[in-house]
Amino acid sequence: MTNTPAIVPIPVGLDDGYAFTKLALPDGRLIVIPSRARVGRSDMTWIHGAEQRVFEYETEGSVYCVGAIDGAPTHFDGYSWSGLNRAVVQHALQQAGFAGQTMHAVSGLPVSTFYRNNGEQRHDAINRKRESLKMAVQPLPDGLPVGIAFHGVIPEALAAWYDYVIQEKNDVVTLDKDRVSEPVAIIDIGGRTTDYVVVKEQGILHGSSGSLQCGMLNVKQRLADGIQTRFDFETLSEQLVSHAVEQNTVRLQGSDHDVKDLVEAAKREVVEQIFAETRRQLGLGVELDRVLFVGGGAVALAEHIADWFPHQAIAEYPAFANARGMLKYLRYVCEASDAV
Amino acid sequence: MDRLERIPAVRRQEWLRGLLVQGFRVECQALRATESGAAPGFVTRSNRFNPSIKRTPVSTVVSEPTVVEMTHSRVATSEKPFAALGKVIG
Repeated sequence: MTNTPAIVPIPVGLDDGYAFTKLALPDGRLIVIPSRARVGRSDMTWIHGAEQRVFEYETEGSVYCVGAIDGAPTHFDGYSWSGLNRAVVQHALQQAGFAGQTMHAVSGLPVSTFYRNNGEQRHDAINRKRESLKMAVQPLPDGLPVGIAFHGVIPEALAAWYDYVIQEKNDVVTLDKDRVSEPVAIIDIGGRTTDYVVVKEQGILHGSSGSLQCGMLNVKQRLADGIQTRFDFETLSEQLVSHAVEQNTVRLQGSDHDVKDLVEAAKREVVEQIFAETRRQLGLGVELDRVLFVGGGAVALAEHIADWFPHQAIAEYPAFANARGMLKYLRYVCEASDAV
Repeated sequence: MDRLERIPAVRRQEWLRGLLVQGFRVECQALRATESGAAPGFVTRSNRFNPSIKRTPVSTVVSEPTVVEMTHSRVATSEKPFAALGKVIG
């Protein structure tokens, strides 16, 4: 009788957002790639394998390319369980160096996709997402796929709460009892949505929790509209607009143009919507001990959200707060997985 | 402390404030040097995180993954010590 070594699954916190896909890994790495992919082959030949920047994956009989391409829009209902999403996630795991490995993952859904208004879970959506990422994705032409053997799904902003209350320090994991007991609001400014979760006495206040369909992708869309109007172009690549948001300039026909005013106007418009919803959900937050901002938008819009509440804070590396919380949930809370 | 005692009492508060600002600036420079000295696409995390420091958002125009190295957690347990927190989800 031979002893076959057991396969030890690797845990991963997987925040597969509409704009960016973030991984939190137990070796301490946090990895982000743009959620940028499209259906079809890349039709490119790479002379040197090391310089390859577009990668192809097949899932459910369809081929997707991921990487340095003009990505298809991800902000559609159902992206969370689409082949496009699976290809992006597989690519992120491949880039993290897990080819051929088996993983246990926890990911998330926006609060309003996870819960009905009355607090009941939307089991159909949760199950679709859970099963989708367990489906096979084959790296082309003959790469070793990363397999996801277990996949849990939790509300996205709540993941940041787990990150907030579970502390890892000096190889010891502890629960911050003060943080667990205090009423706290998490505001997660993401790509397509801004999520609100209020946790009090280890329960979610659904009356003050939900999702606003507005995020950093709206900034990009407003900016794209502004650039098209100003320079009279019909179309702009998604990469060009991303560059303009970050650098305040756009390169058109060989010349750089300052578009800072358009970037600021786009941000202001989105910030106003988020501010109005924040006041609607949380008021002045007088009964909260803490308001915590997380998500990539908390960094990009930091100057605009700096003084909304006197007791607010921005999480450490806020874009990764959900991914970190998903990993902590998987390792220390989720009994359905034995990954540690 | 010797220097502090040599300074007139009315200026001590101002001197201490300056010292704090200087220390803060040195720390910021050290942070920036650590980040710029790392390999392309990699950022080494400092334990001295300060939320008030304005950070540049992670660039995502390039398609290569951006990696942030956090403190490696070697916590290993076969149990789920905070399983009770699962009830928060409902």
